[in-house]
Formats: sequence, structure tokens, C-alpha cells
Amino acid sequence: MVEIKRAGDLETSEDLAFERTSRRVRRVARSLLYVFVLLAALGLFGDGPLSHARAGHESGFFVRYERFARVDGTTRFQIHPHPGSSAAPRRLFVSTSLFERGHVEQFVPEPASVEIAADRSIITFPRVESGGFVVLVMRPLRPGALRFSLGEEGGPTLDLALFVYP
Amino acid sequence: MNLVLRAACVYMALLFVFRVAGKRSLVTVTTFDFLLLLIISECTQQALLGQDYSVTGAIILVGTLVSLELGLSWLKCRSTRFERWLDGTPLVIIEDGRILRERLAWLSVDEEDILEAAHVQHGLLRLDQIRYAIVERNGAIAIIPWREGG
Repeated sequence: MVEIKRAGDLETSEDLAFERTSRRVRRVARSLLYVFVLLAALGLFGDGPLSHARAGHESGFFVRYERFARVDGTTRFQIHPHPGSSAAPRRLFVSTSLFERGHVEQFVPEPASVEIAADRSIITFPRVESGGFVVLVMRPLRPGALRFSLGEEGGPTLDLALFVYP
Repeated sequence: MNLVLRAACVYMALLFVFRVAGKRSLVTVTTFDFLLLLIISECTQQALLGQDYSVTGAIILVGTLVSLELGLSWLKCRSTRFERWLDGTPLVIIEDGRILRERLAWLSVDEEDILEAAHVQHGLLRLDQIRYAIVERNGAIAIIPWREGG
């Protein structure tokens, strides 16, 4: 039980030493709260400048994505195939580890076919013009580090790493 | 994430935010504060439920939140220090008619707040009719006027 003190005629559980400490702690906690909000605005928890990432070189096969994502939120991967013959179908692959930790919501454009192999899924797009790109929308289902490979069949492979917040 | 963990995280986060906001933050609820509360409850509802709209899920959440509340009450009964950190302590802001201005600044309270409490609680007309004013643990200002002739 809190100690009741007497100040003149007034009985109160006022504790000035505690109030001073509490005020100092509250000031620090408020500063931390402001920093948290600032970092969130900058994208530390997804969708902001700190979160934007690119894997691969812009002259070849590359992917733009968010390095920070949140469970049950959606995150996008903008996949730019290597500029080449646009007439040939593009065969991209995604390692199985992505499907173990997340749910693929959508590919834009719609793929022509999907083949399932032991360690990867191969997605075929009939035609992607030079400079065009494919969008993969996924919803992470588990928090923690998410690592997977994404590439072009017979071409370069990129290893992507994201951190998924709960 | 597991529903029990979700509820515990949201409960702790809200406890932290409202404790940091200070004891006076929700005492006088303006129309905008009320709207803000509705928005906060909507945000936390999404975080608590996720995609699970089942009756079982709702019962698990309510059970967890009530258990956490009971658990903290139990801890508060057993530890004065814990109780103080969670609920704070009252603070006298007018003592024997003397306004303690430094303490008003600590709590972001001004004379208008005190006068308003004096009007509402005792129908007092002036600050000099107040003997003691105390900001209680819940953030409300309690007014004790001078006795007749005393």
C-alpha cells in the first residue's frame, strides 16, 4: 500500500521525489516516442526512404522492393527483367522460402503459367517489353528475417532479404 | 501472430503511450480528443484481430485483456513501487492558498484548469477561496476550499 503522509491538515500519498524521477523518465520516454514516429515516417518500419531497396544493376536484371515489411501488410517487388528480346517469353523463378513465409497475392501482369519445382516456382510471362517490369505483391505471414532468391531462368539470380515486423 | 501475444503487445503499447502522455491527457475530453480515441480504438482493433473475426478469437482477446488487467492490479497491490509507476501519485498544486507554480508546469496545468474545477465542484468564485488543490492519480483536480471563518 502507498504511504499516506500529512501536510498541514491534508493527508495525501504525494511523493515529490518519485514525481521528479517520474517526470524525468516521462521526458525521456516522450523523446523516444517522437524518435519512433520520425523513424516510422522515414520508413524504418516499411514504406519510406529508409525502406526502399534495389537489388541488381539497373543496366541488367534488377528488383526494387521494400526491405522492411509488416506481417499481414502487403509489400511489392518490382521486377525488371534483363533488357533483351521482347518476343521471347520471360521465365522468372522465385525460391520456395518466399512461399513458406508469405502469401503471394498477385503477379501483374497475369503469368501465362506457373511450374512448381522442389526448391522454386517458375513463372512464365508471355511478353515483357524492354523497360517493362513485373510486379509481385505478397503478404508476409511470419515476423523475422525473410530471405529468398529471385531470378531469370538461365540468367542472373538475386538474393533478397527483408525484415518483417510483427 | 498468436492472439494472446497480439493482445499483450497492444495492451503494453497503449499502457506505455498513455502513461507517457501524462495523467491529465484524458481528463478533459474535447470533441477532437473523443474522435482521436475512436481512431485509436479502430487502429488497435485491426492489430488485435488481424484476419480473424471468429467468436473464439474475440473471446481469447477479451480473456487476455481482462487477465492482463487483473494481473497488473494484483502486482499493484503487492508492490508500492509498481503501483506508483503505473498509476503515478497525487500532487498538491495549491497548498494553504499558495499556488505552487513549478508543479503546475510539471503537469501542464494552468490556473484556468484549477478555477474550472473550483467552479464545478464547489461553486467557488475566485482562486483565493481555495485552500488545497490536488491533481489526483487519475488526473482530476480535487479542490478543498477554506472553511467558513477558517
